[in-house]
Amino acid sequence: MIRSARPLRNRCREGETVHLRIPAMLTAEETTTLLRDVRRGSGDSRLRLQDGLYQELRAVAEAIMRGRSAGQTLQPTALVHEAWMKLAASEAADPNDRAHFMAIAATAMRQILVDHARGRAAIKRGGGARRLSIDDFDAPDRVAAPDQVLIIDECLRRLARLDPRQAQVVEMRVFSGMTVEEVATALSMSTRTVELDWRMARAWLADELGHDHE
Amino acid sequence: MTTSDPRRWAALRSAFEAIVDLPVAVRAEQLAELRSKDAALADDLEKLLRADESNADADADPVSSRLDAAVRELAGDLGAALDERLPAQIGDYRIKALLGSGGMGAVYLAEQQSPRRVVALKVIRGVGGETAVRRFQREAELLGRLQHANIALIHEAGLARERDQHGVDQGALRPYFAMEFVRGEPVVDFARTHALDTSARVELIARICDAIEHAHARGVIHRDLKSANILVDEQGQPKVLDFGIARALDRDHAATIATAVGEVIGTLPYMSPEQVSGRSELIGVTSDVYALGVVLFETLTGKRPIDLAGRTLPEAVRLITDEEPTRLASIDRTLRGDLETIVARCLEKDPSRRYPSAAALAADLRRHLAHQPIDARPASTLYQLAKFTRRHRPLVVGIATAFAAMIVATVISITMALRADIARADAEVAQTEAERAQETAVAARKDAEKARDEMRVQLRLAQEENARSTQSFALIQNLLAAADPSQSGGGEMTVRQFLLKAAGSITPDAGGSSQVAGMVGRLLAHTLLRIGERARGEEALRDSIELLKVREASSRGTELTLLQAMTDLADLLRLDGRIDQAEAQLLEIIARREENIRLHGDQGETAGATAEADFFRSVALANLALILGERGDHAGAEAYASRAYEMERSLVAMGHLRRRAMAICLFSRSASIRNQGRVAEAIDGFREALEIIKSADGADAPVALRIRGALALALHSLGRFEEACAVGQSVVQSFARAREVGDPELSLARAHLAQYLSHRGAAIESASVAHRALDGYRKAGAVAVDQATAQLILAGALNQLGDFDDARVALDEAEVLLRDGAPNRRGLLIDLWCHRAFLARASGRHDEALACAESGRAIARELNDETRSSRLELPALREWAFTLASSADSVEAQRGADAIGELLPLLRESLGEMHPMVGRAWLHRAEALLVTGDRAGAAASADEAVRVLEQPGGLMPWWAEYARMTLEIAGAAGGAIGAGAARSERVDRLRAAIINTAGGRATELVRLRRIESPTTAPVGASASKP
Repeated sequence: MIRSARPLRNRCREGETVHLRIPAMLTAEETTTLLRDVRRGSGDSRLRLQDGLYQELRAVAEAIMRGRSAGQTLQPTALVHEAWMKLAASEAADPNDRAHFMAIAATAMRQILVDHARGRAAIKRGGGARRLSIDDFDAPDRVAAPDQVLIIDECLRRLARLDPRQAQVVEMRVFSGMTVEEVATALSMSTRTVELDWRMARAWLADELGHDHE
Repeated sequence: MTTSDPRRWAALRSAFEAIVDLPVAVRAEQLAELRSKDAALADDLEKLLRADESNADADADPVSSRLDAAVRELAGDLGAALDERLPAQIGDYRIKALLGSGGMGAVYLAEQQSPRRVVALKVIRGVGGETAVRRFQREAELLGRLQHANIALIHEAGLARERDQHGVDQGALRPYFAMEFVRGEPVVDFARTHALDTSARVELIARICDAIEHAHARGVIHRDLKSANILVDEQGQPKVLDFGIARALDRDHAATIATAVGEVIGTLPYMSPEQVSGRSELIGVTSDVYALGVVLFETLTGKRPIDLAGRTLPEAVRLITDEEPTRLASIDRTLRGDLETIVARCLEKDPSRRYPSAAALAADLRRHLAHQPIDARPASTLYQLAKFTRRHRPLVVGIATAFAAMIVATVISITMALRADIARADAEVAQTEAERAQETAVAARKDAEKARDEMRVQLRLAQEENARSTQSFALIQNLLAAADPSQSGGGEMTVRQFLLKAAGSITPDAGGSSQVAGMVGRLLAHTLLRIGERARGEEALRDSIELLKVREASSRGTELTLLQAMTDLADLLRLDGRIDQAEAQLLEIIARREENIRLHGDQGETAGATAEADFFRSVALANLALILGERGDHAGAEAYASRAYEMERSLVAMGHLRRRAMAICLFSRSASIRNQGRVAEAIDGFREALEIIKSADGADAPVALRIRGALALALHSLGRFEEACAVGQSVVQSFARAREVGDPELSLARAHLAQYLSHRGAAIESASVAHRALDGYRKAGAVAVDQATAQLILAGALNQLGDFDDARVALDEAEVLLRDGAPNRRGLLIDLWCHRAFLARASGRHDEALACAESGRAIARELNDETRSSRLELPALREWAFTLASSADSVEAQRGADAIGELLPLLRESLGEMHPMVGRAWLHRAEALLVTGDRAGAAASADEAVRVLEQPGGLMPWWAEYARMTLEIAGAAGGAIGAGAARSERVDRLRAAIINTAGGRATELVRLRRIESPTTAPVGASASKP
């Protein structure tokens, strides 16, 4: 989708300007084609799009982190939105694809965070390389950070076994920052249903997280 | 939750959806019903409902909030981890973890092998050519020398290749810094998470300034100060990171910004205008001061002074160089005032207007914490105008009308202030007040109301002379047009240039009558004087007087303006030391007013105009009295002042202006009465004057302060030290509230207070106050005679404390200052010798003490011939007599006793019967008589000494104690007492007595062999000053 690499974002957020050049992983054409396939429900298009977005979002995150200053927070939902904005700017994009795109990007985003948290946690536990006993230097809350992501991921997996739809709603809301209405469009459901799903899933998660880790 | 069965979950979901939106009471019912059927399901449902409720309360779902926290952590290294594997080792350092990374490179937590320690290892991604590497090494070496508790230490810097787990070198040589590993939070975050109050935040920044100053003193400028580079550990100890690294890597230039955007970005909000605009020749200590200002702003408010959000880089650069920073108080009103001023000074665009050093900033922050006046001043109206003019040059002509109105408003308030007082001080206070008023809208409004009140008379006249006002505005507009910058070669035009140009173009035909031209000229003259153009101001004033005189010949309406202008000129001349010219002006004012009364009767055009014209005449008389007083003609001064006072009293109307005039006249008269030795009468006069001025202007008005100062002085010269101290203290406090540290009147008030304290026996306090007076004088570069006076007072206090070394230093400095022999300085020289005599006597150098006293007497006699007054010789004579009396030789002691005997009537006459100095004279006489063996005489003298010194509430109890002991010795000893035995016994017993009476301070005083101090009157000389 990016034939000529162009700045994705050249506005300051919280006082910083970040000039980004996103490496092209998927062209806009490919993306729109895949999205169309997703709507038709054909084959492995969803998975292929998800993989492409994984690369895309990771590259965006990396670029942001390079220009980051202390205290600047990586916002996964913002990342997803920006990826969509970039696509939407291309002529091939169909506005109706937005919800599908976001839904798939949410999964990709979740995957990125979880993979990264695993890497961190592995280092912490002493797997992998030898350069490892950083317990001395990490404050307890710092150590907890990757675990938090993994715990949330684990909860969502369990929820998916009990109620796949609710898990999907949560994933879209949390990792893509989609509104209730957007989720409803993507899943072809009423907003009322999405709202109730979201509410119950949240209540369940709150209860789960409260049990396990507080 | 127990459910793990999808079918049970479906049931739970149906139940949840059915019940969740029902009213609480109904919900409880349904839950109870469900429980009777399926208890486990009811339990699960209840848990869900509870969690749902708390979700609604918290208004944040648990997943998002947890995820937020987690992501914030992960963000720290995600970018780097995505494409970068940690090297195993770099140089001597084993890499443990990645602490952070950016465009510049990465920072690792690393362990050094020897010495074994944990460090933060900053590895730079590519440095460039050989030159850059050499520069890096040179700078790095310099940085290693910075050792300060609040600066993260740079252990080492070098070049090394990264090495993987298998010990294989990878890539190119990379520069690295091994730094002290600091655990902490960025200062802005620390202040927030620890909920520090404002003063704790300010103190924290002040400590950071100390660290910065340490580096600056060693020639290292940080260049990249920002909150993220200042960590605070759990103990609250700040540490500044990355000192000088920006320079080591040559990242000063704007070009660098362009190439390393991502990295410099985080720093942008902290970069000074000279940094972002690439003017590297201007980058220096003050660039760090700018960054400190941003950090201070951010620490206090959590926001940044210039909002760069949503801006592109070029826009951000423009904002930093052009945009006025947000005012602190606009974010948090409690921060208005000093802190706002301090921050604004840090953030000045022009480096030379910022604090010159981090130390200066720290000092002001601490002054603020100690509730002392700060050094920085809010930008004055004129400065702001000038800035405005600079920025909006093309607009200047367009806004001419508004500008003219502003100048007139400013000048009128100055006019009122000047007219109101007999010295320039009022104008300064008004200016200070006006500037402070800008700090807050409230104060500004108050000020405006005050100005409005003061302008009432003026406004009434203005209404009556509507046509004239129109003319004057027309004239000012012409002036503005004449000063059009487009006609001044197109260069930038400052307000100063404008005024100078305008002053040159005032003539009767510049658009109004000679009267209007005269009035406008006078206003202009004031403005020029205020901005320090003294010569041009005086010239403009004289021109305007000439114009007004021409006019007055044909119309009475000019009288008031003319009298004002002449009074201004007289003030200017008098303060400038041109006393004779001032006197001529004042006499002319009086003559003009009386001529007008003769010609036109007592009524002027309006009642207000009459009152004002009379006011100027009275003030002229009072000023004349002061001038005569300065010349030593106190009787003449009294005559003038009394005439003015009687004249004012005879007038029936008792307006605000008249009360002020009466107070001034009464003050002037009382001062001349005091100078003629009728001190008690003068005190009554001062008190009455004070009551009058209080009712007119309040107790802190400049005139009131001067009267209070004179009152303290008079009380002091009557020996009423405690009252003098109380009044003097309150005067100092009032001055300190309103004036800056270097203000001469504040320093003078402190010097006086030091003197009173010294005589009251509070030597420690006296020395401390004298020190502060001296500091003020030095700061302001005050005239030698004032500094010398303060030095002498300090020496007196140090003498009392037995700190003879320091006293000698003070005396030596005073002597240097007094070397040139002007008359008023010779008066101080007498005091100098008196102190030297005391010092020598107390140190046991009897002959030197006598010689010093003789020197003092010689100068006094010389002066006496000139002024025909013996008052001056008294202190020197006294020291001489006291020294003789302290002799162990009975012949000398006898001479001392005789001399004191002759001196006593003089002392009693000039100081009053019960003055402590009279008591001490009796005491020294008793001592001398003990040595000569005249026991009866000694007992009688000692008896007198006890009577005088043992006053209830006496403030120098050790003198009383000493007198009692002397009396005891005189009564108890049989026959003539061996001088040595008597002396040593006395000293021993005195020591005991002092320890009993003077408490904790006694140990200091015990160091004195003899407890005494000459009374000096150095403040007397300056007392007659207005």
